[in-house]
Amino acid sequence: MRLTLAGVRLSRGDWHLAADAAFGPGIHFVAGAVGSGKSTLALIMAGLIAPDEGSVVRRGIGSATLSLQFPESHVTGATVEEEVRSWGLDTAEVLGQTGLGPKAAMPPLALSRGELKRLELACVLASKHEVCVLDEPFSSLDCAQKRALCKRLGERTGGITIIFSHEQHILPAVDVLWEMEGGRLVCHGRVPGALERWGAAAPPHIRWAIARGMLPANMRIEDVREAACRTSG
Amino acid sequence: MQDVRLRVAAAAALSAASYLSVVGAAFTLLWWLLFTGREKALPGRGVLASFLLMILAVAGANQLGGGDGLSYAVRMVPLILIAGWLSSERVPGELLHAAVWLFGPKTGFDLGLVAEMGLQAMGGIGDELERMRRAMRLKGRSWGVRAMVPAGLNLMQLQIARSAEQAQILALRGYRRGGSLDPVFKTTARDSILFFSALLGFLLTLCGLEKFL
Amino acid sequence: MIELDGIRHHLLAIPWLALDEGTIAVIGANGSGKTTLLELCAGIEVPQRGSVRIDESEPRSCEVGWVCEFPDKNLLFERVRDEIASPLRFTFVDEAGIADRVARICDRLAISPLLERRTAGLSGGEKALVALATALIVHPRVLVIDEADSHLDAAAAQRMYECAREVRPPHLLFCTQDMHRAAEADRVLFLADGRVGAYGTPDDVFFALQETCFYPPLWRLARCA
Repeated sequence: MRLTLAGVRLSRGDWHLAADAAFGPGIHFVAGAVGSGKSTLALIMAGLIAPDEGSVVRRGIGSATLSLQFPESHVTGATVEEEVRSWGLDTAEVLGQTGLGPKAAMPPLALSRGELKRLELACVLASKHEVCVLDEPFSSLDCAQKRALCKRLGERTGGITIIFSHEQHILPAVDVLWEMEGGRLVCHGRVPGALERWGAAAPPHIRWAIARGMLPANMRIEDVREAACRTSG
Repeated sequence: MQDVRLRVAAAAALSAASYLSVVGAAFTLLWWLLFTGREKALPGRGVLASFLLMILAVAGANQLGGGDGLSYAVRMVPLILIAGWLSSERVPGELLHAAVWLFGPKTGFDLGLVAEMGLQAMGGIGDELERMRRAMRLKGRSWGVRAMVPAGLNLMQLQIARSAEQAQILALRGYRRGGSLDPVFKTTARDSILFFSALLGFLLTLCGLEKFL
Repeated sequence: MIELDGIRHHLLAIPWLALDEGTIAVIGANGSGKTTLLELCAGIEVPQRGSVRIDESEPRSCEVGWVCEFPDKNLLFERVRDEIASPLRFTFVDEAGIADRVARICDRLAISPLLERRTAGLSGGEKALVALATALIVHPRVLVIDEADSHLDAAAAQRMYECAREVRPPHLLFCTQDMHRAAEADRVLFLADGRVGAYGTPDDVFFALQETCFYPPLWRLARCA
């Protein structure tokens, strides 16, 4: 199973995007500033927009899905229940998981920002696709919801999961770290070695650890705490 | 044309000329060919196709009903081209200036604000529909007739929500009625020439342009 | 001081709360009432029961600036200059005054190069600064930033807050899910299920929250090292 970006190029005026990369099974984290091209690359990977040059090659991949940054962009159903059904999912399971059962008859756009985000994320993660791309999944979530999402991501087995995010504090355990640098997708490699190659835009807790000569097992804050306690203990 | 007042007046004159007679329509088409960006001034393909289809449908019905459908079609097409040109030349904020110039700082400002925000909202509808199309694709659904009703409902809800948000922002910014604005227009010699040529075409059409040919 | 007295409004239930002048970070889970509280302080909502006073005046008689979470939702006009000038136009300030104040606030926020650009073409960070300029141009008594950092990267969010703090409106209330940013405020207000969980200095409030995920992550690390 492999998702390859072969010579992918896209330009909009002065802004350029370049990606030559291959994603294998596991969880990939793509860091980068807002406006660096993460969302555009996510759309290209999910096959929703075509690059100006190059191609996206899918080997051993039946289908791909994408969770968009702004959850309103997903809404096609007239009610919350219809929205879940539009994903082809069991409504009772998804509504139970998200705690939105009492709001099943409401229009999705009447939900709060966090509720709608949780609903759409739950639908994306519940649908069975070999490739799952998540564009800024942590935005609009509070810390408990971010933790729950990290836990859910950690439970994923098989498939290719690609997370695009500028989140700095509550992060999941991942396999491979990437970064958007000047419009180009750069691979820092497998975690934990990749953490040392993460630039100035790395999360504060990673910079804190690396500055003290610690290499945490992964990029979660608990990994850094464990490394710190190991070092001081 | 840089002066929105002359541009709108020219468009009104040309539209009236086109509507009044086939010769007026020919004049309007010639004006469009000579003085606009042509392809750049056309509305989007989808919009143009929709309007042309509507004109053909009405013309066809007209013809079948014993009227002169052909004349109708010939007179309406230049109207669409002029509307497309008017839309392509729009500069953000100029409608507000024009409305205040015409109707003053209270009514004019209100009308201009509504026009600006309305046109912005209309421009956003295309983006919303594209987003919905992508959402359907992500869910493995086709963007067909069955998708139209829920899409339309969602679009309405989005627009209503957006209107409520905008009303809140307007209130927070102190908007009650009207506003201060000194209308500013840049009028070039080309603007005047284009306007007077459009006006001439309208007047000649009114007097029966055929007599002068 | 912002005084909330006997507030019952939707899920908010606040018997009495006095918010000091300065910067106040409002934190809490989604659905805890943060935005509702901010809306009451800004005069956008009138409480179903109880009252809100800002320096002994009604919120609606005070100048309020508001920056909301989503960059696009703050913007009404297609050009940056029109957007920033709009609060002054709505209150019938004369053209010379408008030009002067727009120039000054843009200079202060270092966004003068953006003035003739279209708002749609701006980056998220630039949109946030334009929204901030629009909010600050009226010299607000209360400036509210409602989780505007949620869709900004760290650098853009930092710049936005630094600009807001530099201008120093009497009351700066901001919602954030970044506890380190909250810790930089003068006071922190923690809401839970519509009630005040804690209010005080960052040290005091976060001490009370140290067993929750609302404790600043780096502080936990510092305790370990």
